[in-house]
Amino acid sequence: MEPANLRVHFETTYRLDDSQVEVMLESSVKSLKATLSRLDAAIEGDHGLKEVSRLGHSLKGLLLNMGEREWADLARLIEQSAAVGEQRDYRDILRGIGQGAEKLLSGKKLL
Amino acid sequence: MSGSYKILIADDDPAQRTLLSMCLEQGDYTVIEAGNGEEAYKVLDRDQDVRLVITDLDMPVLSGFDLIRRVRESDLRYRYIIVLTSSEEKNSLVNALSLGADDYLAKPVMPEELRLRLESGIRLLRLEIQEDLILSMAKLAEYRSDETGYHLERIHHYTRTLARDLAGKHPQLGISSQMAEEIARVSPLHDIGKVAIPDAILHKPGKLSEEEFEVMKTHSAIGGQLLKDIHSKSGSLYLKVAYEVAMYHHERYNGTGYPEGLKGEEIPVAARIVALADMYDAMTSERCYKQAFSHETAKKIITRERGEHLDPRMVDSFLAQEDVWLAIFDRFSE
Repeated sequence: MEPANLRVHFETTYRLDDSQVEVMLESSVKSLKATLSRLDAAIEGDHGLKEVSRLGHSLKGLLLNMGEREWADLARLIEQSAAVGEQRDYRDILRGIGQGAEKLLSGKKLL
Repeated sequence: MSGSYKILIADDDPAQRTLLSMCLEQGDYTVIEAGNGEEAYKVLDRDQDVRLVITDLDMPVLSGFDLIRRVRESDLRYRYIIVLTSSEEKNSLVNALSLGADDYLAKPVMPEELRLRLESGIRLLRLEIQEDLILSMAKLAEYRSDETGYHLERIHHYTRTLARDLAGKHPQLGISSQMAEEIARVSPLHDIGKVAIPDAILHKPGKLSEEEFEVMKTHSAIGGQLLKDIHSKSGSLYLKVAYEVAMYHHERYNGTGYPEGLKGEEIPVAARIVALADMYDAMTSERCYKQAFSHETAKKIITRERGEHLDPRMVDSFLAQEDVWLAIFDRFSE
């Protein structure tokens, strides 16, 4: 997930102007941080796989809006596997998404 | 095209709400945001002018499914509901549509698609305004006859009570819950053809002569033809049901009614339902040519007409729910 790609995605897909793109970048990063954090807590805690699936679903929607289809596919994997009660290493998948989003989440100005 | 329509966006993800709001800023919409279904319902409850709703399905506190259900249960004015979904969520989508959602948008939402789907919604809302105009015609017809007061309101509620009960008890009649509401909505149009009946006959205080009665009988065909003509131009299902009701509500189950002498299942089910509602209301109301009958007398006559004038299933439903009918009568008495 590259900040520059995200900017282009917001400009071209949604035809947003510069100030709108800034708002969307900030809003998306904030939502992404919050959702990853909640999903992490749900996997670590004993909220049950239903909650993991629900948050995987939210993450997928967020990533699709950001134009990150491949990362959204991983979120979908979490959502669908957890929905059917499949035991797998959700922490590992989440870690992968987190690493992919590192540049976005680092807090540096999104150029 | 959009005018100044108010749109409610219900989604627990602030980024999604912001994105949709920005896309809508390019049109002329007033956007209201809600972070969950409960918040969304409160907005809709206090502002009847919000006619377009875009909602996520998976939300905390109250889900999108529950929001759709509650909106449809309490709609005073129709709301056009679009659900946000992902392409692979077919089951959720079917569930949402069966609860009463009108359309869907797949994520990521493309602005052009959003605009086109909203325009579809606005077209439907405008059709509803046309329907309101047609219902106003029914009111005019009512003012011309002596069926003043709450006649149309009672017919509407009797019809709805009957149609809803039949939808649950007799699936073979093919009445869905949506169809039940549709029949109730068009029921006030049943006598619209009376606008064409001369005053001397319509307002005659005594019994009509044979010739006069023949003229009076033409009101069902006149009303039916009028609605059929409008239906053929608009293609609206609403008007098709309205046509069936106006045209055939004086048919009798045993084939001795008018205008076509249809028998049993040949009579459209909506017309069979309104026939009983109209008959009960006519008997329990005072008219220029007769006193009102008591509920018990009306009930005896209706029971006697089971399988003769009236469809037996309609009569059974009436008998099973007579307390509800009495409550409607009391609430809308003149």
